[in-house]
Amino acid sequence: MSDIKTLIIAELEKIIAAKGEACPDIVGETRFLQDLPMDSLDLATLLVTLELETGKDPFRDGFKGFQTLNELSALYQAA
Amino acid sequence: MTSELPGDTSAAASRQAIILSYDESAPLLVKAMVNAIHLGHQLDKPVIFLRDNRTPIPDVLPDKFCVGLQTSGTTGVPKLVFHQWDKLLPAKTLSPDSRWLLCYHPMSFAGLQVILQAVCSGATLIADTSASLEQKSRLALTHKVNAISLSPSQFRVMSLCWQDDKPQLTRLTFGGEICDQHTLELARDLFPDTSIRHIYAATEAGVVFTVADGKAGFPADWLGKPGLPWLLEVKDEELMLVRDGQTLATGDRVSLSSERCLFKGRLDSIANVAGAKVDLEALEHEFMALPGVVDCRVYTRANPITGALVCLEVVAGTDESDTRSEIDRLCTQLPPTHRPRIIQFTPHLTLSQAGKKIRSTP
Repeated sequence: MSDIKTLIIAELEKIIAAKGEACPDIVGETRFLQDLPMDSLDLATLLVTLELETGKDPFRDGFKGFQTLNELSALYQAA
Repeated sequence: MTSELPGDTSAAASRQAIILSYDESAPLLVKAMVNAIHLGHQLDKPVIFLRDNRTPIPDVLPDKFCVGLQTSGTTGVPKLVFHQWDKLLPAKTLSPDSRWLLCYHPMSFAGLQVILQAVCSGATLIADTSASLEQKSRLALTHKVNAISLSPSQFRVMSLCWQDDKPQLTRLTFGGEICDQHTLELARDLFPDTSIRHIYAATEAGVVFTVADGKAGFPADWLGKPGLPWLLEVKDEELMLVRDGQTLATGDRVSLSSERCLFKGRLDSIANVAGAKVDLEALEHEFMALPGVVDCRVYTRANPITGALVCLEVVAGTDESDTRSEIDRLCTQLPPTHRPRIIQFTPHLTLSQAGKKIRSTP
């Protein structure tokens, strides 16, 4: 698994644990808002944390669609 | 001294004005500023102090001696404001025995006020423009500083460095930000014999008033009362300054009680988080009131999902884990949009060059 995927999963687990929710297994096709107990604010928290951790902001030039772990990882790998 | 031009200004500007650009590491920067003022006075040309070279210089400049300063840019692009010399001079010169420490940016309105007070009163000025606040707190001790003018945020950082040894201050003046009761009491506890006051001033308006009664805000009966440089009015909870038919909207929100007019924050400290309006300064006051929180900064970080996200930077007292528990407890009581999502503990807050809390990170 790529470093960025490992990082995203670790941050997701932290965000979900902070909500007091159980975190299901996360795989490449896991959809953030549909398959995980998280809302848009949690997703925003993930993106801000990733920017702080990696120094990368794939959305600097505008919003790019993504739904799954694989899709978000690809955006960071390309950034 | 020679006129100095930043790269993006027109050649015409150099013929019309004496321009000094900020360079943090320049030795004797304050002396160069005083020399520039002296030269501008002699040549009857405007003097421009540029904190930020990106600020455009207007094509048409005043044709007489005056001083151009940039606004702090807390809420937007800094702009250049020209001040008549007599409006910049201190209304009252203080003791020549004063030993001032320059804490503000030397090219800010507040910084220049400190410089001019020291020069006009023949006092001593200690200035190290590249020093951190921790270094400045040590400078205050080593140089036996007895007069300081600074922002409440700067004071809270420096007060942490003065727990064992502190300067013998005769005068402590707050400016640049809302001075809340908590900070005034902290100052009173640390410096019980010091004259403590807070100034309300803006680069566009100059010094408007000074409050010396140890209470936050200002007496409500000052509203509409002549005698101050500007007439004070409140319109839709915003403090307005009126003079000679000119009305200046300050952008400062106030609340009125029977005796006091209290500052509540900037109108533009309202952030939009996932469609909800969040008053960052009001939220910050809630965290500031928690046990163990010495200082904090509530700010937003931009993101493509919710537009902004509330974040918190905290300076904790002795026990960080107890403070964290208090913060977590408050967070559970806040609406999800108001809850800080990134919480960082830090020895000191991130402040702007003007010593103010930065409210948003792009």
